[in-house]
Amino acid sequence: MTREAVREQILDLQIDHATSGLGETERSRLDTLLAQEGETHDTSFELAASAVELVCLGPLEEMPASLKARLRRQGDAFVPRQEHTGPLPDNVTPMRRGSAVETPAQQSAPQPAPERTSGGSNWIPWLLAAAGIGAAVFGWRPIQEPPVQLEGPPVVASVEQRRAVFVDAASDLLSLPWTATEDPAASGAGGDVVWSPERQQGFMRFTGLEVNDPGEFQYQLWIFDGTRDDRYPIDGGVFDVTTSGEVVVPIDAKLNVRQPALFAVTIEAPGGVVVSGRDRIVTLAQVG
Amino acid sequence: MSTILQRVAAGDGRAVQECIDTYGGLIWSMARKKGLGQQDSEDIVQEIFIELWKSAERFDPSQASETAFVAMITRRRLIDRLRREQRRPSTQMMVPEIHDVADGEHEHLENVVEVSLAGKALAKLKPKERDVLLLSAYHGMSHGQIADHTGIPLGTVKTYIRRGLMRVKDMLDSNGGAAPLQEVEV
Repeated sequence: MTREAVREQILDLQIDHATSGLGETERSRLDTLLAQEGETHDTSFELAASAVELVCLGPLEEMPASLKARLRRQGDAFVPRQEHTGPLPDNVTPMRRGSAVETPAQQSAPQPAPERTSGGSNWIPWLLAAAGIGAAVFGWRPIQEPPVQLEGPPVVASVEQRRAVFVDAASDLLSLPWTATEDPAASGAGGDVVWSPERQQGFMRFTGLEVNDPGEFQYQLWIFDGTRDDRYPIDGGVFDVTTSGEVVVPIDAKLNVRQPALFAVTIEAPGGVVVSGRDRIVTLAQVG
Repeated sequence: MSTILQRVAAGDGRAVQECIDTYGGLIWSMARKKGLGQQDSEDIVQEIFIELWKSAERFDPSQASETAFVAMITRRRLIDRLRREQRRPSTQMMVPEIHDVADGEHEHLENVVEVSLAGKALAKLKPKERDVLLLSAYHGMSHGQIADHTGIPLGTVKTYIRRGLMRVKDMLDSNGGAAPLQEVEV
């Protein structure tokens, strides 16, 4: 292929990317061609397509108040609402018209980005960790709802009763056993997770999970949804284990879980996190 | 004076909230216009805001207006979502109407330089070229879908899209050298 033909193909792919998007194969092709030519992705086509869309958008709709409230909580978790008068940090790297903001591959995996394989699932490393195989350091980004402290102590009769009623009543119940990892806090841990896709409710039950000091660390649930981007597991809530006996914890998923694929519990800093370093995974439950 | 996104990048929590107030309607409207249902729209808007805040440090007001940058991030995410769900635009979609940005309907958009420039570029295209570009850039229809929908040969569809988008890009680029693409103060 002549250089001119390569450049033509790059242009075609960039225009397709800006207008209707590229599939994985086309993205890879564009990345390869850009690397071959020593060029970087040109975002000016995307800006042009965006401007065209704005011209046709028409009157703006007000978003629902409930969504706005969730966004505000999400924003507080991202950056607490506080006065800030300092200069921009040194690491701010501004965009450049027509220059490399991101490659198309990076656009589907924003920086700092998890390493993704084409069509792969980011929760596979979790399973590897559970199997004691060890995993590469995969980054991942959860849906950044603010970490929510589940209401009330986890071990109370009412929660157990609620779980029992829930299990009896749910006709579409998913019941999955926890698999403990090699993390010391999970040594000998067991239990299960039950979830109703229809009700969007569920409970976790644990035995043998290390009692935690909430001032030192807390547990946090993440739910991977097969219909969502693997990089954004849903925050299922932060909780404590206050007894070495059986603990029942209600799940508080912040978003609709359309196709649960994997439930994972991690140990995080007090209050939970919005981006888990996945340093300590304690239990996993895979669907299917 | 720093823009909202620059302040978000600098860790200003108030700017994060201001970002929601300023761009919530825009992002929500863009999601709804893609034909997503209420729940899906709410989910994707949450994801888009996260993406936006994370991308805030990449925003350079000398290269694009903040609104255009927000629209680009939103659009990118929506396209990814629709592709992942293998949703294809309906071939029954109509060519969208070009709104007059001066008609007061656009609120935030009427002062966006890129919108004004893109409108001018679109006005200079032949009607068929413009229609094809809008079906592609607004509705995300594939070349084949547009060919089927309009009866225009596939190769011509591709040419129209390329030519049209280049015109808009050139119009934006030419302004980029003249003045910062910031929202106009009114």
